[in-house]
Amino acid sequence: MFTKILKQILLVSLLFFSAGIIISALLALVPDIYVQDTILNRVINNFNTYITFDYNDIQFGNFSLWEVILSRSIVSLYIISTTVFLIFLTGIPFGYYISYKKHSSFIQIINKIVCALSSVPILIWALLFNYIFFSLFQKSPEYDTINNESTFWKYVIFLLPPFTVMIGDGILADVIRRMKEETDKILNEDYIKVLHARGLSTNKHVFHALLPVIGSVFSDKISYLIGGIVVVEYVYNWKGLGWGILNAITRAGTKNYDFVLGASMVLVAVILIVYLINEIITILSDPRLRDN
Amino acid sequence: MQYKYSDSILKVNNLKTYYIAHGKVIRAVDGVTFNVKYGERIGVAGESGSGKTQTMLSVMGINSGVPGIIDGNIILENKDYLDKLPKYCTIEKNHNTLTITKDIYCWKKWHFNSMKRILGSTISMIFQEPKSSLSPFFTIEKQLFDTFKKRNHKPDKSKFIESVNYIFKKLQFNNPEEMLKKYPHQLSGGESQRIMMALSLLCKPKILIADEPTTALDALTRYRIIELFKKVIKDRTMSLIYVTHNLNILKNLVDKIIIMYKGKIVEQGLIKNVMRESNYRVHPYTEFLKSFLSEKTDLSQLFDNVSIQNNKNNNNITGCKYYLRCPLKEKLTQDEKKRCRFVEPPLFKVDTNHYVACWMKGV
Amino acid sequence: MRKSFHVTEQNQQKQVFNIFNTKYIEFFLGTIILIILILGNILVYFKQDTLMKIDVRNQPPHLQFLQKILYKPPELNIQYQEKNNQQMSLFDNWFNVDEGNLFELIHVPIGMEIDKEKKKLIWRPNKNQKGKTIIKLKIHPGKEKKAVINSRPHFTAIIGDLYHFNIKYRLVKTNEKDINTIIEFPITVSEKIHPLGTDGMGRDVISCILFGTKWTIIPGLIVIFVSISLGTTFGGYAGYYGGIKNQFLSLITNLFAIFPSLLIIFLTAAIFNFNIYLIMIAVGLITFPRVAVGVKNKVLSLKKRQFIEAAQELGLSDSEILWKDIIWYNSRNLMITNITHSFIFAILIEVTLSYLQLGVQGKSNSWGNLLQHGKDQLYYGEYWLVLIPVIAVLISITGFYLLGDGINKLFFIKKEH
Repeated sequence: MFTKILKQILLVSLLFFSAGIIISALLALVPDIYVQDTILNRVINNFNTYITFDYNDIQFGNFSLWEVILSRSIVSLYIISTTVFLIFLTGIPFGYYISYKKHSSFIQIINKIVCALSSVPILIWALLFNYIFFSLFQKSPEYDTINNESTFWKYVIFLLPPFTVMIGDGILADVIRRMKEETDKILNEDYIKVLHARGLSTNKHVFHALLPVIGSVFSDKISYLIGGIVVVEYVYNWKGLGWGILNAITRAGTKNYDFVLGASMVLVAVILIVYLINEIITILSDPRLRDN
Repeated sequence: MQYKYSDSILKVNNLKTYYIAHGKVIRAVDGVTFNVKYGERIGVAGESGSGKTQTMLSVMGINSGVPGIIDGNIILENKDYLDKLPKYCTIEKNHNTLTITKDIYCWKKWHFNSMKRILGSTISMIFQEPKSSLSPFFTIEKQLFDTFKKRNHKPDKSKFIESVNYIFKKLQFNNPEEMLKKYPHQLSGGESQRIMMALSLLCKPKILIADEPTTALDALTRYRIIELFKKVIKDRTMSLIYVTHNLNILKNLVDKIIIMYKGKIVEQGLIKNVMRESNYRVHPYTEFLKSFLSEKTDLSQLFDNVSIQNNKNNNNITGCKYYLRCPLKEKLTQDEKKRCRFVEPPLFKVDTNHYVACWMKGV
Repeated sequence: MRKSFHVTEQNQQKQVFNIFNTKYIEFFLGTIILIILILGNILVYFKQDTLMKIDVRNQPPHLQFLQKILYKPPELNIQYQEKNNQQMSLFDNWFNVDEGNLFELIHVPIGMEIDKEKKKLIWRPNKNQKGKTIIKLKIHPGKEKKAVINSRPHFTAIIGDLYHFNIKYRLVKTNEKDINTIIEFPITVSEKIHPLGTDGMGRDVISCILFGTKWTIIPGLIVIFVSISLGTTFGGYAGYYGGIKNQFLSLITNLFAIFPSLLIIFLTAAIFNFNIYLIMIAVGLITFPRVAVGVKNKVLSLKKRQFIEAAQELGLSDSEILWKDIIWYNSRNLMITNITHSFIFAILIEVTLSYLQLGVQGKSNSWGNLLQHGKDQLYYGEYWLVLIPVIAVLISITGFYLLGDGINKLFFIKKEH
């Protein structure tokens, strides 16, 4: 069992390394009139900064690059974790419940409404919420102004971006559909029938069977979540990693490639950690996968 | 508890289970009536699709499908578990159409709640696929303990291990401690089927239903498991219902046999009467099944006569379901043919404890 | 809840007409929306110059029901004034109410007449009044009263028509001190009717939307072409042969899956100098691994059914089995869902990129560009530049979803065993 886990960790580190190479290569291809090097030189320079991790030495205004990346990543990581938590609370139990109560048409209607609502792109929800928030409360949900507000508004402003990311881009619809399909598959298995024939409750077994599904759902959707987070940061003006990357690429003048490299590596690391957790959960929860 | 051997432990009366899918209706169980007495052994035989598995699942209450059980009585130890069925399900007949209205979710909930106590303790079932019948996530010890917990309110680990050892010895397990630590995917087919039997016997049920337990196994394990069955039911404290499509197995195992075809019971009787070679008063379907044993099969009865079925004028077969395959119809007069085709034959008494549902053989 | 089933004696189920079950509605709605998009494309291609006419900027929509949708003007427009800063006062202490003097007209467009008895303002705009004008009201509430005025904000007046303005109000008790508040009702006067208003450059919103359809069909086709061709080949080979090809595919899938897709798209947008067609090729490359995984799973599940061995015995070659039997006959459902989802993904990416100013640039406007221009106007209450493109995006997305579902249900339903 542990050899399998070690293999996964090795694979993840390999992927992380190659991701760094690819991003540094891509950054070198961006046409920039302010940089005079050849493409190969740029690739090597980018790769050097990536490998040697010299972020403390590079300056970015008054702060070192390391501090900037850190402060930005706190914002982004907060949004990611709250979104994952919210999906875990709402989408997954709902998907299970839908499959459980297959014959109730009321729930099917609610399911259709939720899926239709969640197919709306994140951009549109973000614009909508931003506008409603502003017109109702005359406040702008910005991260910088949070400390001046009372605690109630703090909670609302803190929860607004994760909520927007959760219900956009078809993420919730996909999660619910996937949970429903997998629960259907599991409830059709033989051992559930046998457990019913003995009058025992099947909750423990269904939960155990659903653990790897939950992990795979999250590892599938995490890259879309991060895409949504970039949009949300731009609309609500929260200065996180995605906002920083956009700013670094689209601004006039010298573009800040080191920041883009560092920020993208943080996001890639998040995705890889979720992938690793998913693999570990599948190996641990299913005894059939423990031995070869 | 004192009970007479002549009392019935299970009475099934006019059980009907219909399924509707893709616009077609499957009458899986269509008016099935039979009795099981204490300590009696019954075999149910029929081909695939005859409804024998569905009958047993309906009796247990674990059938899944829409609409499911719609009518009947299942009386187990003098309690009818379908007595509240008319509250949830109504049937109306308007000359050509049958309208079934059923509250599926509430019925399932209520039925499961009322059957929860007896499932596994009074009546228990062994299924066809042993390898996928065990939950793959827990060790065997845990799964046995779950079932043990159900019967006793104060489960004691030592008592559990005692009864498990006793049952394992009976089922000829060499190394019970090693077996308990294993996971289900590490067992062979025969071993897992024996574990299923152990699970069923752990709570000392009064009826054991075995649904084709040896179909998925090879010949040698099949023989071993049937010998185990005979050993387990030797003392007649437990009734057995054995469902199969192979009449050979039932010859030395059961007292009574029930033959089903397309959801209905076509023959019911003591096995020595039904299986006697010289007995000509058996249903044509039984003769067909018996002919497999003696290798003198009449291949013309293998499939439904398609030409009759496709003829549009002849689409209305409301009578005997075996009409399309019956070899007797060639020797019938027009009136007798009409009767076989349009009127359903009831079960005629042919001998003591021997009933046949055929117009020609029964009268 | 009870469900009814009707069973005939021929073992058929009588179909009761149920409106939620009609598969035709989805299919027809989807095709209608697709046809509208294609027609828009054709119209733009042929009539490019004649469609776009410049007019008064930031004109609100002329459709009556759109003007009734919204709310009171945001409080940005309320100014505190200590003196009477009047530009044109016709009547002081007009609109006398029981609680005292409430309103005072400060500014009114030229030519507006006041009907004192019916409490209305009547106005016929002039040719010379083209552009923005304003009606300003001043409220004199009592010490503990404040008037909340509801009326139609952002009105469009067409030259030559006659308009009546009714101003309705209600009193609200507040704890604020005596504040003189001025409330403005902006009116835009123009010559032509623009049913959905104009944007910041004076272009009609309807023609902007039509121009934007240009960016829905063709980028989607590019993405489909790239992702589905690559996806089916990779997935088919990986599922059919297994072994090394399977591992290779899973490696590539992992490699593409670890990148947050939007970031790579931003980088490619910067690399390709914001050329939307090249970006769509890169999007296709990013999305093909998911398609490949789906196809691979389907091929594996079909392999288990063992009809492949039968086909091999009949003498069909491997590639024939793979392409004809498996993919063409059996996985049509999957293909259609992949196609529609790729289309939707392409539209979403294109709108997001244009909104972030990384996509379509320059004169030609896509829907995302409209959103970018209009997002600041939201704070002034000018909602139409955001609402209309949002509705257009939503309609096209739902159209593709419905089309995919409808085609699947109508033509490609498989009978289950």
